[in-house]
Amino acid sequence: MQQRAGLALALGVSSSLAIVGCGGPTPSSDDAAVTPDAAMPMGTDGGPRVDAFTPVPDAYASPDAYFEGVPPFRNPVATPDAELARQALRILGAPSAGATEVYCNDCHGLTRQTIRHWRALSDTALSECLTDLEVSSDASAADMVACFRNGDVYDTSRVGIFSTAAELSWFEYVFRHGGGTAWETEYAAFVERAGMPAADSGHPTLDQAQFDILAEWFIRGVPGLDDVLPEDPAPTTCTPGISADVAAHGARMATMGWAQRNRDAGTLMFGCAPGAAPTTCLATEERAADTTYGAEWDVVAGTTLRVLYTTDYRSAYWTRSSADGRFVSHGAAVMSAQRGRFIDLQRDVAIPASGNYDPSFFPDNSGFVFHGSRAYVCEQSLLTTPSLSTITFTESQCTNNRTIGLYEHVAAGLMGGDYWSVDGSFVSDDGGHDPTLDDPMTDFGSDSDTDFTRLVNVADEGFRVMGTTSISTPFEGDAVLAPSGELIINRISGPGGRQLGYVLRGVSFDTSGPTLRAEAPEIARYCFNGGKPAFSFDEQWMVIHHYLGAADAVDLGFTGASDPAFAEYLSQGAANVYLVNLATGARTRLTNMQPGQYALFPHFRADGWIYFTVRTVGQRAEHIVASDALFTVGG
Amino acid sequence: MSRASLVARALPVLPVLGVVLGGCGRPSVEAPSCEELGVAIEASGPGERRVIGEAAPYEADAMLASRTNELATSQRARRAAAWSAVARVLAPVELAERTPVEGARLPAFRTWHDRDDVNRMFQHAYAGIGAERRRARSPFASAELDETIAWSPRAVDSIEGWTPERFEAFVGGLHDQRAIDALGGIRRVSMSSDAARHVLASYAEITRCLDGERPLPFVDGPPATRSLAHVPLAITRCHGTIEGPFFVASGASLRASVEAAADTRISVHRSDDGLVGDTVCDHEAACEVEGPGAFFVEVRAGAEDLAGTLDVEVSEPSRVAPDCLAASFPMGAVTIAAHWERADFGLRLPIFDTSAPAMRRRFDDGTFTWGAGDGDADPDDTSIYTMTLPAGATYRLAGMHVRTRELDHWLNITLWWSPDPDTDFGADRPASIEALGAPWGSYKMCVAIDFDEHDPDPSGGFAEDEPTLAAALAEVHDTQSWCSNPYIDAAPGLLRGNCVGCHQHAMGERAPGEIALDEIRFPNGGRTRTRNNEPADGFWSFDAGDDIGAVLRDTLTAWDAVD
Repeated sequence: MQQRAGLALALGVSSSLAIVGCGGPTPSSDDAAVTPDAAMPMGTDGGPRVDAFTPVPDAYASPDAYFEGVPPFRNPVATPDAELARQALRILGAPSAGATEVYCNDCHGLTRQTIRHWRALSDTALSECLTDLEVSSDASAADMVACFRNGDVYDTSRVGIFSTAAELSWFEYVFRHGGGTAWETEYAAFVERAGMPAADSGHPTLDQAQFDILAEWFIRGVPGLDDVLPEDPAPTTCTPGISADVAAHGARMATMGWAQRNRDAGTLMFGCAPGAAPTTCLATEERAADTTYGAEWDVVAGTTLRVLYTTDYRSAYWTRSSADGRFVSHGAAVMSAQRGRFIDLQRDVAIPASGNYDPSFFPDNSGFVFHGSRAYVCEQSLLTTPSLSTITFTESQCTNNRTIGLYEHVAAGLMGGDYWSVDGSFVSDDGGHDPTLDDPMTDFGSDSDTDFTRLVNVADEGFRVMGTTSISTPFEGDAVLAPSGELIINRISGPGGRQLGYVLRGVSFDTSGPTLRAEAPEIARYCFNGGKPAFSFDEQWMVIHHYLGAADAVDLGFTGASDPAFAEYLSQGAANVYLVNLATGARTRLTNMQPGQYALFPHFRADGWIYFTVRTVGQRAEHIVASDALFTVGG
Repeated sequence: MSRASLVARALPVLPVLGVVLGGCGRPSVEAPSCEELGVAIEASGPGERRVIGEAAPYEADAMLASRTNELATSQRARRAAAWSAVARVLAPVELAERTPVEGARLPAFRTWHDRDDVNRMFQHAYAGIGAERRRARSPFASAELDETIAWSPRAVDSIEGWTPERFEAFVGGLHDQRAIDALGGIRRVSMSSDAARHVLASYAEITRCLDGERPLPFVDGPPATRSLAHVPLAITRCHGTIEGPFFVASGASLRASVEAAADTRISVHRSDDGLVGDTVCDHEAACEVEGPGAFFVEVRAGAEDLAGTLDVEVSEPSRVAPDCLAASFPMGAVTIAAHWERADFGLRLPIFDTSAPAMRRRFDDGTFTWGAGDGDADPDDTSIYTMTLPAGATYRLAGMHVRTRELDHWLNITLWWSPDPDTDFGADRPASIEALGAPWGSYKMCVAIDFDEHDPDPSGGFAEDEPTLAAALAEVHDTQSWCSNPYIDAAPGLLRGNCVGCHQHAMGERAPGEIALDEIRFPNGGRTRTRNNEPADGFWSFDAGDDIGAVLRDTLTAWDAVD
């Protein structure tokens, strides 16, 4: 263990890394978590042995580096995941991992969320700053040094957990070769401002072996975290963080996801000439800008909003569409046993259905789910039946079950995988019929969970429920499943049932045993609010609607909430649609709704067009609107 | 259809002739060288199609129709012909692309076209004919269809997102035979190239029937015609080629025509014990002759090299032209309806006892329904055809209908898996099937070619050598023919089906289950002929099963909005 000495602390980091007080105790020499050499003996608690590492090659370590005089950034560790989690968390100071002295947790809340946030920062650091671990040239070293800065100052958030190696030889080497003539000064500044633990914390810095354990665990994606750390307390704040898993997933989905799969299958998109570029689609539909009610809606230069359909009824709860964009469905607020509606845009009719609400379409254009007295699962061919005039859900293309709960979302596994449905804790969202002045509540408790249902296609039978499983998602709800079934996103509950943002989780299923099991570790957290999101078919984007409040005044171009011109928004309310880049968290507002107008329930079709519903306070008619914003915003 | 294979099978001693023509020297003939609804989840995509290559040809037997009476009156001969067809359907074929599995091959039928293939090909062909022809629902030219079939394996190259690197990675992922077997996807219905080509050619008729009034059961009209051969030609000047022989029934006629240069001549010769006999027609460009008989068709190039296509068509006096197709399916058409059973989650495969006592028990209970099975099994991939999709889902091929258009009412074959495959309906399995290796020796088979059973012997001629088969056949022997698959024909009443009776109603607005149970309108469990107008020539899957008609209609609708 190396003692940090003589370096004053001035930490310029994101809020979750801000250190409080930080004059805490130094781990004692017998602290199994942080002492060198014999400090982590193999004992009955299974503590790590720092002299027993088995280096294995990987992308982040180069044996050649030794021969070229470049110190290793880290030495890979072959310890199994479960044991590695305990070792790493013990180093970090987690009592549940056997640590007897505080360390990082002297200043930081050592929670699952904190660890995952650090992991997100670390992933970003590896992809953006620590880009040449072999330090192949002085120029490369200089680039990395420059990247460690946030503005003019070195920033812990730029190096993530790797800040714990600030005083190890690799970083010194980088500054020596990339820090210019005053590299020593630069390096000292880096250690002082970005190195962890902070100098005034009184805690020793890590040695190389300890850092190797930490680095290995974070690079593996912090496996086993939930098995070692206890459940987090109720969140009170939101700290954004996006792990590298998000971009990696998006890159994979770009070629393997349902957007591509629908292109492969020749899925014909509504309003498009076969084979035509999506940007040319829906060109004959009326531009919202040419209507009296939608003249002010456009907000993103170069994009167009088009009105696809206008109902003669008020819809109930959310609206969703088929992958090809031909069918749009929702509940209808009508006095009838047929309270479901399937709008066939091709035939320009709204087909009544003997159900209630909550449509969800499979991303391969093969079928859909709708709720009535039970969950109906039907093949898409039902909707393409010529002259279809009503849907009873007793048709041969439909099955039903009581397993899929309300507020469900569905997905289809890629490459011949099974179909999935997710549901769980939810808050109803049916705003915009009357003034709605805030996003839906999020009264999700510590016992909130998310339920997955596996639907298997059985010959001659249709969709059969073949297993369910739940995961604990405390203080989260309104789960939405990505088209592939490999991501879910939840709304997070904060104090008073107010939303704190969204949590994105990567989903994997273990189907090898007798019972279905799921894991869904957090891979990103977004700290803005809105309703239930929807993923794009390439899973690189999501869209949300957000009920406007006082905090939105400036974004809308007003001087503030007290601006007299904003007063009507405060009384009539409004909702806009936002497009979110999942890999960066960048958010773009797509609409400029007027007071009393609510752009709600946005969702994608397979080619990237975004559909949403527009409700207007006091009016029965609603509009189904399409936006081509993704093609401009997404490049 | 494969020209070479046709000739090789029908005329083993007469390979294609080289002919030197008059005017170019003395001519010298040298040594002749019933689907139910299902839910499909994983199609054979464009990447898979490129790996597979073009659909493997089905080697149709152009003389099988000459044996119609023999096949109708002899269960033994019928079953032998069926096993022969099965061997051709299952014959292993090489993949077009090299994969990590050295020497990887697929059964021929797994290379054939599914709904998604048809969709891609139809979109390609329809986009290419222009707005005016689309508005008029003009038929595709023969050359346009040929180009489309040939384009299919290359479709992936024109789809955004398929980079060479992605394709290479895709192929690299095909690391074992189960993955290779998954290349064909898991759609229920697949079609030989000739069948798929005919679907494309009939798009206007199919979609008109889908959205219009369904055809009447009885109509008067011209006899149906269908293609016996569609053969690309490349003949050097002063030379020729001979195709055939082709069987033409009494009352039927054969027409041969060539799209080629003006001085092309076409001749039709009688078959004389399998050798080229008397010339009965000799004209430019086209010839027509009356049956009965077997005929060779000869094409000769003039002073210029000849490049074109030979089309041989036959009229069918026993059939009227199908309302919902451009013509009857061609002789090389084969349709497959597969029944896949999931093999994961500990799911076991139901099994069906088809021995004589079991069949008697089933028929005696009066429901004419196969039921849930007589037990279950957990066969491995050495005894049942098994594939694993890339996501890990594993499926077993429990049964499959194989229908070939070599006969007027099709050669209707069905196969089902059995844990004791060498008894009753598997007892006469020939060496040609056993030679294919595992798992094809685990399937039993029945066949029907007509509404009625004309073999007077209930045991089908197997009493002496295959007693278990003889006994089982005796249990199902009736005045109507019988053939039913316990997995595919699971709906109530279909136990006593015969394929032919059910398939006559395809696109006739009646579902198989309805036909089997409505004894007033469809007597004898639907086995009796109740219409002369078979609008879809017996192919159910235009508006049922994989709903192939719907994908055609969707493309028309999309273009209608543009055109």
